[in-house]
Amino acid sequence: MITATHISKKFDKTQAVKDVSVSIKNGEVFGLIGTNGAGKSTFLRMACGVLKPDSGEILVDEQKVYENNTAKAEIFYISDDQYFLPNATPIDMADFYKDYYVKFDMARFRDLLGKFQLEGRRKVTTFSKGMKKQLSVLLGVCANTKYMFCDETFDGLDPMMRQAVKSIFAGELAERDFTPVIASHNLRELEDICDSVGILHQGGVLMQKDLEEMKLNIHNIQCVFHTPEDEAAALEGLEVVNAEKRGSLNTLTVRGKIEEIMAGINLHNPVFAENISLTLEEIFISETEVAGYDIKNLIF
Amino acid sequence: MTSKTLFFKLIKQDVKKRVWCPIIIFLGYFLAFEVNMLRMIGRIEERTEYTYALKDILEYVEKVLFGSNVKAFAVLACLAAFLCAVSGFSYLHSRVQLDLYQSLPANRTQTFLAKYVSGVLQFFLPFAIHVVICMGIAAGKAAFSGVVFGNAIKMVGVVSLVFLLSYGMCLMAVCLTGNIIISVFGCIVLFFYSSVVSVLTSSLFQTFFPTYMFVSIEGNGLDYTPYWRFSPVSMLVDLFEPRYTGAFRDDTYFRYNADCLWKVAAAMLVYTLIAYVLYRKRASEAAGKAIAFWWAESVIKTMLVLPAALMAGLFFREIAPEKGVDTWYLFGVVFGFALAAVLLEIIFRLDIRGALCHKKQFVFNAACLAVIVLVLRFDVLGYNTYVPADSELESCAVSLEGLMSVSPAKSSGYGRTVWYTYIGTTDYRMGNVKLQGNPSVMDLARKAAKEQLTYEGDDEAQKDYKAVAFGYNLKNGKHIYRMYTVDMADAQTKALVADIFNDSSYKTGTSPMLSDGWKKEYRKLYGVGTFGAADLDMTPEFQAKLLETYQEEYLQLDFDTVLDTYPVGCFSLLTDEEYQADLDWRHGARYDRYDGSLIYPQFTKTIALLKEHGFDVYEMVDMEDIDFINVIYCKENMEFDGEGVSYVSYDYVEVGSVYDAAQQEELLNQVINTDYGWQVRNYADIVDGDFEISIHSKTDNEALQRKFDFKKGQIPQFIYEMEGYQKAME
Repeated sequence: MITATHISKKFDKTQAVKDVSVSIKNGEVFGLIGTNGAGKSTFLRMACGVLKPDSGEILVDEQKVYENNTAKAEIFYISDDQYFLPNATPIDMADFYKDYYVKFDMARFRDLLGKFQLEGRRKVTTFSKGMKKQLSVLLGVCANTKYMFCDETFDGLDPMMRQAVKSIFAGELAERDFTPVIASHNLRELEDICDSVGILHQGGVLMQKDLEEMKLNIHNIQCVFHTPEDEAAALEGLEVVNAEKRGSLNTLTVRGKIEEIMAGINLHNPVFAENISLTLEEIFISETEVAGYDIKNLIF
Repeated sequence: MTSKTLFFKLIKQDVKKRVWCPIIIFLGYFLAFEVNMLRMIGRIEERTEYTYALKDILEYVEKVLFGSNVKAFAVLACLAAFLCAVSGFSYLHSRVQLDLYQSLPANRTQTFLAKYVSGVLQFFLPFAIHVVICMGIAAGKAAFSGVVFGNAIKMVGVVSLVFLLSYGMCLMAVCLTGNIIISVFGCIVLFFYSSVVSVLTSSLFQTFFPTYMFVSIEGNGLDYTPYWRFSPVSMLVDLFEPRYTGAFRDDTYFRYNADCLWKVAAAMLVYTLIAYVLYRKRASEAAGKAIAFWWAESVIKTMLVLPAALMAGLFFREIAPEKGVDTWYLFGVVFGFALAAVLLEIIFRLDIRGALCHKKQFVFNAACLAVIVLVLRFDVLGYNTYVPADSELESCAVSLEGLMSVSPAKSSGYGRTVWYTYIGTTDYRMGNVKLQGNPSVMDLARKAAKEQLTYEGDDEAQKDYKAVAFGYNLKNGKHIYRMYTVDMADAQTKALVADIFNDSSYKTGTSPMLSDGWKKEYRKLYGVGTFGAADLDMTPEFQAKLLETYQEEYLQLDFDTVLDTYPVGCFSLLTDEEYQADLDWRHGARYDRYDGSLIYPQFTKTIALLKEHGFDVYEMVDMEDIDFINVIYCKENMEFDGEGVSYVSYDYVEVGSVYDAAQQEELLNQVINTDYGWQVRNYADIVDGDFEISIHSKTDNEALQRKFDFKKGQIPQFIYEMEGYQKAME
């Protein structure tokens, strides 16, 4: 488990991360979302021990990370601009990481290289940006660490590769204790990968939620009532986050369990009532609008 | 994984990552060792090697390759250290590399040690391989011996130490900075800083303090320089160019100051430790900044801006016309300061718009500079007038400049090309004379400091001005040196000077033979008499007797006698090593005797002892053997260059040759041998330097091939009447 408690980091006069507290459970894919400059990379760099927080502390499995080899041995960090050794090939890089990560699985790495159609003896400098990202993920997966921090690693990957990586992650999650933390400035990139998400804005955490829980607790309902009295009575019993009306058609964003919401509406004999699925984007818009932020300006 | 295993893996990785570094070092030393060795061997075999005058390959390998070449190898080691430090640790300047390395499960101590050791190996292995190959080549040429092996081991040790010193210093620069260009700049600055500041301080003191003197002597507990010589360049100078012959090892080929080795080792440890602490404390976000630590930036700026401004001031003062030196100096200081301050801000900000950042520090530095300029220009701290209180003084060194300016020889040169130069007389005396309990010493110091006389040149009123150097050895262990000008026309001054000269401590301290001779074993005596010369073998008995007799009579010699008595000869004592060097150089290098002890007519016992051993100082010329005596007039001309500056030039005008026996005899009665006459001329006004006299014998008598001066006011009348003189006067 990764626990960050009131961590702050300042670069000269710029407050990069301010009083952030996050808790990331083991075995979940955690997405860290924020605009450029929101503090995602700084947070990850502190979490993997590259930077030392000015205040607060980050614990990985209840151990401080900075200058702690034991904690770091369970972390693999892929930066937004991953460094590869000069003139190195994927195999060279695997050899390099093997020296640091005792559990590095060389056989699996070779196998995955083949599956991803990456040449083991080709110089990494000749790889495309996407290929380098794939290689980084493969190296990270084969390092067999408990935690993998990916800084914008999935941004720009083509859908097929995203699917492939996603399936690797799924396999890892099923087979062993594995917790990827993925930072991105694009919520859509993470929608189908993450289990829970934290939003960073201007150095602070805006919110942290479990995606399934969020999806189960907020719904988009379209309904038409016979009379305005029925409509008013029905809406009165609901925790409406957002309501829109076009003619007689109500489009409602409602918080609560779907069974209870539909039962409440049906009590007032609607002409029709239907649950329309919300995208992650819409869920976030609703959630953060409640908190007083215009999320569209922040992350889309 | 155990730390030990990881450590070795990290070293392996590091070497793999920058394998080009040991390759370059290997190539550099390949050229310096094998290529150079084979070239020299070829020349020795062809007998075309003249630089070192080497006898054979064994001598070359023993004394040059694994001897005097140590300096060149040390310079290469400095370059290698720079290469290893920058290539190994420059990842600290790259964010992407830091993200990788510092996220890996290896802590900073492990990484530092692995990279440090890797750098050392990248230097040491190629270097050692070449040494071994060269020893193999030497063995193949039957030029290998125990001495060769010993010298090679010593050289490897010394060069490796130099590498470690430079490596530590470069690591400091790299860890202190956040940018590769700044770190290269930092390496250069740290390498030279203390040397440049030493020279600058010395130049400023010379410019502004007439009493300033630089004493370059080591040994006898004296510091030969007042500065902390912390930069590698200063340390290498101290290590390889000791200023005092006593600091040399016996082997004149493989020279290094063994006393300095521990200083180098200590500095190496300190620099490496500082580099390690900086590495540990350095924040990862410092990558890309000019300086990695905020506190260091201001310190570095002040340390660079102030010397730069003062250097600019001196430069403009130097090129300025004579009348406006102060104005030009001030302009240079202001200009240099502004330029350096702005440039540094731009470099540190990596942005031209940052030129005027940190106004507070600009003002602070300007204030510091103003204080330094005022202190120097107006001697605010009383440098020139400083004289320690009698209670502070342990002893005092004095040198009456020009009076019997003799000093011991020291060996110099490379390989077989060894010659003897002389330690500066003043330097020698500052280390050897230790006057105590003579009130005239401090009376003269206080009088001179109060009068503050300065010698301006050809001013008749200043014709009796003489320089006197003082070395105050304080009870707190410090040594303070001052050079005063005194007026010997002042009776009180003259009396004080006489008191000092007549002090037996002064006499023995100023005579190398009397202060050091008892400890040496001399082999030869070179004597120069009024006309003749002698070359005597020394025995321990003769040496002891001579020193004893000479000391007894020399201590009785008083100052007034020195001022108006012509010496009748002088002699030098040579150790076996000095004598061998003389033979190699056919006496050429030691033709001018700067260590000759004067013989006065009053030294009757010494004269008798020398005569007893075959050297008669009064031995006259065989008049029958003289063919003619040639006289040349040194005509002094005052000339002016285009800018109105005067200077003196000499025309050597042939006066003529004297063939008449009576005139020859008259002439020879009035001359003094220049071999020791120069010592008299430097202080007492009893020698005429206008004429140069030489005797031409019929038998090419070597002993007579000397030059002579006339005694002051005793030039024979017929000289003035000679045609050549008349012409010269025209």
